[in-house]
Amino acid sequence: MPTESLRPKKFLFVDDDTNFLAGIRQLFSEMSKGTWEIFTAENHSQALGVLRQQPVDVVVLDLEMPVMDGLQFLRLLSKTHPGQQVVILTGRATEENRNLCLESGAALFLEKLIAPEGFAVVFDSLEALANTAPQEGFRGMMRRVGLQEVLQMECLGRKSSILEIFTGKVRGRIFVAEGSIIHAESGSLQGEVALYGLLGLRGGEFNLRPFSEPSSRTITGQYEFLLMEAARLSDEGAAALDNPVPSSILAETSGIQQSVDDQQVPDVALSAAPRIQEVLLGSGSGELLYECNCESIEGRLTLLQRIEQHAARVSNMLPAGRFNRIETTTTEGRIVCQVQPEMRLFVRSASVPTASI
Amino acid sequence: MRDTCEQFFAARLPITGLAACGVRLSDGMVIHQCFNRWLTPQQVRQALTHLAQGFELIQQDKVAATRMAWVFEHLRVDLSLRPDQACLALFLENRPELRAAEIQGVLEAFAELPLG
Repeated sequence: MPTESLRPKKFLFVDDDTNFLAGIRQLFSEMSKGTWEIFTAENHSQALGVLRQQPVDVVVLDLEMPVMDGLQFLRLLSKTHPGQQVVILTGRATEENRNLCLESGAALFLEKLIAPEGFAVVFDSLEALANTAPQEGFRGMMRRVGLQEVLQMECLGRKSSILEIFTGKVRGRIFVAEGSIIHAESGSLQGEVALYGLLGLRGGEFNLRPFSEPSSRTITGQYEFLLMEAARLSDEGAAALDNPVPSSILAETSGIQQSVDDQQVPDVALSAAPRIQEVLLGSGSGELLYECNCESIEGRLTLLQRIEQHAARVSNMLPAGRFNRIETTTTEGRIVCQVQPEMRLFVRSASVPTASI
Repeated sequence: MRDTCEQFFAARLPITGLAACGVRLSDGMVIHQCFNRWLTPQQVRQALTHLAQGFELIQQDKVAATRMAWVFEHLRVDLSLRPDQACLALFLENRPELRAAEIQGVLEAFAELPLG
């Protein structure tokens, strides 16, 4: 829109070097010929104060600052100001710093170059970034939006994307192609083991990126099976963390040498294989979309309908929020009935060694 | 039976995230306890009866269950049904801090509780 391009672009530079800030303000004001509005802050506290006063198009952070360094502040901003464009401008442009910053959500990683042409490069990069429309996709926190929900939405929408996941110790990616989970990788792990490990993480951050073909396709199963199995393993993992099974026992039973040292990855995720016996997926209106080994399609659809009606009555009695699912433990195994506005899911799995709730 | 249940509550509860609990005995009597003000005793009584009917719901599909969890956006209710039809319900805030082993321990202990 014309009004958008005429609006001065707002930049916030955060650096503990006041001389640098003064120089940048003067130089870039001249170079932008009044099209930039420049704010400065000497630390994260002042920066947050500026951001409280008005939003800016781009925050430019130095890496080395006292109290809270640039990387820490970048991660904080990704939580407090999701979607904020952040650029790192540092005199210590190491490869390690670059990777850490880009993985933590920095849009650009630029080196402070003292020569005039260096500042021109920085100026041009920032100008281009500020004029770029916000990137498609979103950034979120796992505690607010579950990874499983995001994956389910991608699969149901038959989309193609890469879900990047990172915690303090674990980094991984899940590839979705036209609604199917086709590959996952986490450290040296690949395939379903990596997928279950990533979906079992208790906290961290993720980015949804445009799809690109992975080096290999390591997962072929139906996404419904995969997500249900991940949920089951995650539940068991929570129990395992409360009452850990010695790794030696897991190694004996699974035959898989554990190479992940992050406590957040449930041990059981590496030891189990899918044992789902029956699946039915229906639309929100009760139309059958998919079934596998279903004993009675009509019976299962009716059961899901009865559960939905019953849950609606309970929802009226309690401040419980929207109904999600019933998890049932039987003598033979476990049944999960999930009822959502857009879908109904029935999954029955065989008995597992560890009782689950 | 009331005393046994109340002693059970005192010995095993509260656990992480527990807002309320209740037992529906085989004669229909309901014993309950609220651990904060989120849920009222009346809500717990009413909901317990309805949630326990979930066992009958799936029984119609020839599924005999001994444990069940109703999971809502903010609430999770874990139920344990004994052979004598006594049913325990744990009303838990649905949050990540919930400890599966802790819940499971209470449900297992209830299944073995001598209710006479």
